[in-house]
Amino acid sequence: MRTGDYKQTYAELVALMDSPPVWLWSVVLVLALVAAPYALNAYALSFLTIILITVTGALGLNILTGYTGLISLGHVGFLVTGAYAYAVLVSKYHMPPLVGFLGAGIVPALASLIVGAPSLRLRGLYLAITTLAFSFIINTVILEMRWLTNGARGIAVQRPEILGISFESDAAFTHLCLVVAILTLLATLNIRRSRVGRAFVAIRDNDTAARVMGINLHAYKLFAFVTSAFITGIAGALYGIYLSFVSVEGFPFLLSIEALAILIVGGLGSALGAVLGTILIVLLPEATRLVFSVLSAQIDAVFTTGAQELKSMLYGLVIILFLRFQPRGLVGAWHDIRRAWVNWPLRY
Amino acid sequence: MLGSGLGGLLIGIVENLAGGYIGSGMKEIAGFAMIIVVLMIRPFGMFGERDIERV
Repeated sequence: MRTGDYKQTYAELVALMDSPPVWLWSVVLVLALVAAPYALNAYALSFLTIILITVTGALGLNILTGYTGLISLGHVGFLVTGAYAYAVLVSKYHMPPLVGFLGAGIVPALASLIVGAPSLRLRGLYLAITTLAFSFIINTVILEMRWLTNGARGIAVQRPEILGISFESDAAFTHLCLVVAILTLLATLNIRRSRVGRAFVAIRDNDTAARVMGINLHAYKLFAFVTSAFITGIAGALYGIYLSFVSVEGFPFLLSIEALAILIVGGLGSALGAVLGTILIVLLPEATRLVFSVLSAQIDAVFTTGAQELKSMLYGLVIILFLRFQPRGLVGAWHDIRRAWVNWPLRY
Repeated sequence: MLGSGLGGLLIGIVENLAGGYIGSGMKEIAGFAMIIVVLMIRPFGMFGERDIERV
């Protein structure tokens, strides 16, 4: 039993996982997730797919908001740009899906340069407002560019076939989302452990001090924007494929709030937090519905008719409760539990 | 006080002029576009005061 984290070399500080059991359990978890689509029914499988897509998006926002400390309310803008880029490339111009996914990353990344450049001078609330403005502008631009995006009618998207493997069935599509989510998780963990990630965290903690230490603020802030938008765009493409139809209405502003709620609930600046937060936030409305439907059928009906409103209420409630009682998020709670478990019956 | 009053008036006028002259879609985003333009030129607002940060 380990009693603490004792790092003696620099290599240990940047190790991906610091103990063999963690590796073992991670492999077990991945194998379980690979097998899950065959064991779950269609209803549970849809939740697994949504969770995997949302994890990808949340990890994207985590690079910008969690690591670099730049609050973005406009991530639904990158999500919708990615989805449209994929839909236009694959459904309209009949490109291979891999090119579509690449475009779904690159187009939002370019868009993020446009919104990122003015954001370099802004902080906190002003940055949040600018990114919010960006997401509304993107929506209008998409609606106006009818020749490319079909305007309000949207574009239908087929399930892709990549390298001869068809992702037509739900189970196969879940596997595709799983692969993308794991790759994104590894990418964000690697970014965090590298020189770039340390620069991001330095900017978050105190950007003046970071600048004094020789970190190029403009370059690293823009890099954070581009990376974040790239990942979010790919999540958007997956979400578009999942909905099998890309339209502006499919990406409501609530998704931006949901993404921020995920990060706050999970714990800002932690990849594990983004994953835990996603699981909680995605399952929360459904869990609440189940609890109340046991109590009475009328409340169940309210949940079906006012799903969106109740969702935003729940997100608000969860954010308030977490900020009040567990500001470090689920990851903080997990660390507390782990420490209590190791040190019991002593307090520390 | 003066800033918020004038700002409200300006946003209202710009939104409706943009809606009338450029296109109805522009009406909704004109306000947001203005926010971005103002924040780029004067990040402390049109009537705000520049605060100097000492390190």
